Amino acid sequence: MSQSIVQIYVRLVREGVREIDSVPESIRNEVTAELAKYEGVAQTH
Amino acid sequence: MIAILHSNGLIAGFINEVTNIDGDTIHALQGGARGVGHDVIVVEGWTYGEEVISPVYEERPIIRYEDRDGQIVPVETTEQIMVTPEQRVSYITDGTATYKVGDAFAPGQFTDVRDLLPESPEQKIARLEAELAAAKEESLTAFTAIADLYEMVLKGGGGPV
Repeated sequence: MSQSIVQIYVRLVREGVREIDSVPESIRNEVTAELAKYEGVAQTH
Repeated sequence: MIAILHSNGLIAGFINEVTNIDGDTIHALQGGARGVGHDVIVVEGWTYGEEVISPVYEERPIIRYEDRDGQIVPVETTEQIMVTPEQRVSYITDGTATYKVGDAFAPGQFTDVRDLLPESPEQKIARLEAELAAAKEESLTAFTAIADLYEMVLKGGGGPV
């Protein structure tokens, strides 16, 4: 799956525009993994 | 640029070399004013000056007492009394017209050019924050549209959504 559309959903979820449950199933795992990366970065600061 | 402070059709004061106006605070190269309670017009092409009015003295008769051979006698004389101290009257002129503090003032005769003043750091931060928020909102709107389109394609293709 294109990384671009994953990043778009990551941004929408992070900004509270979309819930993770509303992300299409086909990319939900990738979006969840990317969000986990962001949370890991956020916790180090 | 010069800020003209005015109220009720009269000029209340001038602030020379204005650098910025932020709310009711006027910043100028030399000082400025905080909490300005007057209406303000910023003008360009005028020169600021101060006219010094000399103090006014009056001769007034007084009686001085002198000792003359053991006798205290009154002697009439005069002394100078300052009745009006030195005054500095601010004015602006464009070479043809001159306005002083206290003169009648018609705001419509002047063009306010405060938009030409540079931003203060606070105003710049506020503007950039507003622009950033607008850009963020705009990108989220675009991302939402792309996501909606993506989901429509998935549905149209019969794939799982």
